Amino acid sequence: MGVLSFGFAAPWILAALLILPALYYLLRLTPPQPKRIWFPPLKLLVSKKQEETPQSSPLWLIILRLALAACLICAFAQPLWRAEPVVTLNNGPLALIIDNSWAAAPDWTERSAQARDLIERAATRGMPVMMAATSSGAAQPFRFADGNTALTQLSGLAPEPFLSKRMALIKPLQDALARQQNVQLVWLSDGVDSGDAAEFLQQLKTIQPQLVVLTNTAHDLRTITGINNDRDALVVQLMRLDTAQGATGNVRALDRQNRLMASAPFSFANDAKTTTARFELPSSLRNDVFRLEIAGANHAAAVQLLDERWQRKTVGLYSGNPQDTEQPLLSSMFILGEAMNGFADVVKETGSLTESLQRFINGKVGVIILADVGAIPNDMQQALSKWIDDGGVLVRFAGLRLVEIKSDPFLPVSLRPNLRSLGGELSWEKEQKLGRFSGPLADLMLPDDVTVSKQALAEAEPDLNKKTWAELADGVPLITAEPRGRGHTVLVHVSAEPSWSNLPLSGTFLEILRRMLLMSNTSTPQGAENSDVLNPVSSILKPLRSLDGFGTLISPPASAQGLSAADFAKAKPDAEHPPGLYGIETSFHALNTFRSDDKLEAIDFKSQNIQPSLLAKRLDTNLQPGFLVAAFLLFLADCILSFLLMGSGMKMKTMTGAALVLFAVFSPLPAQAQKNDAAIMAAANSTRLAFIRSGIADVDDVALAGLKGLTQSLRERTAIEPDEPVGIDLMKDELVFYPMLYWPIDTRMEKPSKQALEKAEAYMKNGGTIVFDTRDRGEAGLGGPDSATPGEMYLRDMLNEMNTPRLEALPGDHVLTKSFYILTNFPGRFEDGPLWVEKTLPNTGDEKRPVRLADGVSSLIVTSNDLAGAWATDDSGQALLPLYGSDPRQREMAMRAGINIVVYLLTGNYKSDQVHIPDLLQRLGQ
Amino acid sequence: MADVEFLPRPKAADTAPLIVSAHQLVARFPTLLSAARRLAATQLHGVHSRRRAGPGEDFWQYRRYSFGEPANSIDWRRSARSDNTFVREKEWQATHGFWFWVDLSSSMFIRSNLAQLSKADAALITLFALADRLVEISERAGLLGRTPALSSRNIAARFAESLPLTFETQDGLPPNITAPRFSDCVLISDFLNPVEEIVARCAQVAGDGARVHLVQMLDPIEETFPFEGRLQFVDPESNETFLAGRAEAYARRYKWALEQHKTKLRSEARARGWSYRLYHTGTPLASLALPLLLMLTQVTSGTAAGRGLR
Repeated sequence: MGVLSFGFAAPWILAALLILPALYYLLRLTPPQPKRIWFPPLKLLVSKKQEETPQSSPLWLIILRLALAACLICAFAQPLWRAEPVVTLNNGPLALIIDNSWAAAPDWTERSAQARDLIERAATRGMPVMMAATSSGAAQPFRFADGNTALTQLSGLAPEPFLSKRMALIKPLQDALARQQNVQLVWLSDGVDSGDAAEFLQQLKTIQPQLVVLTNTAHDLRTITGINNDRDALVVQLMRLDTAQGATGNVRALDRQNRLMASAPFSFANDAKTTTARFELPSSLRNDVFRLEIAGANHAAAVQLLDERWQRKTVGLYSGNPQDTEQPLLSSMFILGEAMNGFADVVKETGSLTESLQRFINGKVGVIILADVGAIPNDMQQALSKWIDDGGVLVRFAGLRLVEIKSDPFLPVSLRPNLRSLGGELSWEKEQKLGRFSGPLADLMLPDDVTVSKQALAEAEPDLNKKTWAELADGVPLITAEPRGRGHTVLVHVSAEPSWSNLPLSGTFLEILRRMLLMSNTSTPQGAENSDVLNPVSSILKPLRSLDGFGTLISPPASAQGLSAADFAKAKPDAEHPPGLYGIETSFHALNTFRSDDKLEAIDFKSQNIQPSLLAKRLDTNLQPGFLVAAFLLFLADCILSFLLMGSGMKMKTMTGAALVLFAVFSPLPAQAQKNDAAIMAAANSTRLAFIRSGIADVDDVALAGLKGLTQSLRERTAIEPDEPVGIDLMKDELVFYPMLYWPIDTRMEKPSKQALEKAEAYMKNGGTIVFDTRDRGEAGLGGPDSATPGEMYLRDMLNEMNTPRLEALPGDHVLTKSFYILTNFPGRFEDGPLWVEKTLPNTGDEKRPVRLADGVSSLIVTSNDLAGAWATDDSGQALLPLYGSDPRQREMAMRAGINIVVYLLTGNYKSDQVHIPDLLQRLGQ
Repeated sequence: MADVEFLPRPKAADTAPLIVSAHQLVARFPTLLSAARRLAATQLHGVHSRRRAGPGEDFWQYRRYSFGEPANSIDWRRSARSDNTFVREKEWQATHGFWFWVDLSSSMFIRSNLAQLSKADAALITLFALADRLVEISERAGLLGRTPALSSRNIAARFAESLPLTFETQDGLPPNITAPRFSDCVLISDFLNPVEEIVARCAQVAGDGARVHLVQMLDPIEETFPFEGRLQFVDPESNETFLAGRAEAYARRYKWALEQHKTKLRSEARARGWSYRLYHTGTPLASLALPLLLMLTQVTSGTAAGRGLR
């Protein structure tokens, strides 16, 4: 390790170090002549205690800051501590063999970085490079080329989701190396023996005795080998490569949408090769599990995809009624088949009972449904009994044949010979509805539309109640069951077709059958070769999604080919058949990387007398974080020193400031959000008058006082009881809560931004009304009696940028003049300014109406009379500002104007509708 | 950051701006006068009578003649209707005296870019406006120590003529003169001197029982101290300087000191029954002149409330 091992990734940034002397000069420089400010209250400003801050910083502070700058510059130049190369190369062509099976995936970054480093080093010496990936098989160039070609080849390389067949490489390697002298052979091994590793090593050694082998650093490869859907848990079997020490981890279960469903821990004991993890999930949830993976492992063998084969139960259907063939759509076979079709694979048998039962049991069906079947043949009783004990559920439906046999080991109850008929013409009793569910059916909804007209009756037994899962409203059992071993026998006391009851036609029937399915516990291990018997279809399943070497699902590669369903159970993943899903989106089979019969063995290097080196975890140590941390620490020190140097009077403020900064940094503004929420809640919970802040204190104060005065009057005189008025900021605050915005215009205020105007426009468009008040009628006379005031010019400028309706001076018959008081003008502090409103259509001549009929509310009211000035009162109710006008009642009239405006805004054209009152009274005969 | 201008600029850099050319000031008068007229036109008339017997035009009361009074004061027509002799008394409608003083020391000639007017200009406009309006409603107004109480129509011009003489007072304090009794005395200044000095001088002005109204004029920068960075502050009166390395560091302390100063002045004024008003040159002048005039006319109208001020 020499000096050279310290380097920079971006050394040109170091040129910035040249500015350090300049920085030093700048920091040392005395500040420029200060600006002179005339300031009469100087005596108040200067007190004896205060000291002048030094004109230049002390030297050590400058050095500290220069060090800080130097640290930053060095950090951005990305300093590196170059590690010693693992492989020393001599001057010969380089032949690189890379394992790219899934076992190479966990450390693929290091592996490819190592390969890149080797190729680059060989290329700088001008040596040709050949690269071969073991999983890519013999279909590779096997040619020595320059470094760039090898690098391109390397960048196209990715771990494959199957174990490599390394021996396929030997022949082309021999051919390629035969023509070269002094070849350096390097094998980047993944450390997993796929059966031919010893032979491969042997061959490599014969090709080049100076073989260099690098293998992965960590042998913590773990795989999922298989899954058992146990009776009460999903059991995941795990295997690992390195057995030396105990280890723990988690298996995660995900559903189709890749959402985490559950996580189960596992732990390998010392020297243990395998272990299991258990997911204790309800079976309905278990069926949603789509993918199991070892948390933290990123290779394909740590993933098992689940298809529907083990989730879906198979149901065997057999009917003893020969008439079923005559009316197939009314037959129990058809009804049961359709009912189960959604959630189970249905196998219907029509041969002899013995033969059919034999096939069902051999096919490991979960549920056997026998509709109206009499006695079970003697030669099948033992097999059926064992099947039930193993978790099968035998469901029998009543029928004339079944009632004949009275008692049977496969009936939960013994039956009376006669049937019970209800609701017939000769019967007093009415058809019975369902009365109660119990046992596993207890949580089903009781349907009101299911009636039973005929049923088989159970003999009274002491434990009949215990065996009953469903009974009729009068307490007669409808479904009885008995547990046997791990399975059940179930009897439904009506037939499976609708002649006895309409139960088979109801939704409840589906639910009951589904419960039966869930109860069946016959375990069907993944991949067990059971499907041949029952699933004789032999179609080609096309690849749907494939796993890549890292265990992520991707669209299938171009090389992927279909698999025949018959061969599926025996298929092994390879380049043509990558692991993943095969079939169609709704029904697919999963081919997994690692199978229960696969072995996970480490390559035995020792027996070949080879000492493999480890792939370096990191080639270079990046020193940038260290430099950044140093710079940050220097910065902190600088902050603290500056703080200490500061005048005593400033300390408190700075401390508060620093605390605020820290608070702002470490809290993602919850306080602000809460404050906003509170403000919004307050605004939404009651009606309020609001004004837009102009940013000029006296204008805002008068506006607030004015709205307070108006609010008070509204409370006293009208049914409107507004809450305290608020001033709002057009940019920051939400406007929707306020029916009216009073907007005092002052030529001194800043022109609102475009966004603000757009917001105001949207507010008006959505039904709000803005009352613009230019408040300067008194200045109107300056340019002639009809000229616009400066405020009006300003407002005109502002409204030009908005999409505003046409305005008109308030017509005498506008509803605004009559909404509460009858008014002729709307004075404020000035009395003669006109009020502008949205243009309305005048009444047509032939109708004599006191009020115009105009729908909606003017979204814009413009005045120059300074309304708020006239409304403004102090806390004791005394008027704040004098009025300019001759009418002694002007203040009262101004208040009435305000009330009219607010009532108009809240009630709209209600008053103009009242013109119909005479007509209404007339019609009522008054 | 605010920029501060010194109006008019001193001629020599080494001396404090002591003397401002009267001509320069008069040259600005026409505009100031018209601004004052416009202001006064918007103000209201205040009719006041004394509600007691005295010289005036309206009848007040008959009273019995008392011995020693001049015989020509007897109202013979009334006396002929009874046995007694009566004197006809009229309601006292004597005009009231208003005295003004405007601080024209250097510190008043400061204008920041936050204000339209310098403090002196604002004070002069207020003075002219008030005087103009008071004379118009038949009151008399005078400059304290400079003019007699005048009631001429062109009172603003008369004041303007006599103003330059007052520049010799450079201490920023009212003149050492006692105002006539029962008159109102309006003192406009920035009142930045120590409160004790101000109060002592004002007390002397009010010594004979005149009502004193203090109007403190401040530039917005003096109130808000909107300064940042390295600045040298210069007092226009004493020419003292102060170098602030980081001006913003002084803002809090300065504002606190100013607040103390104002509060002290206000409480001293209240304790003596004087009125006190604060005006910032950034705000419209009418907000000062209007309430001030209303208060003055209310005071002179002789109502109970007006007298209650004493």
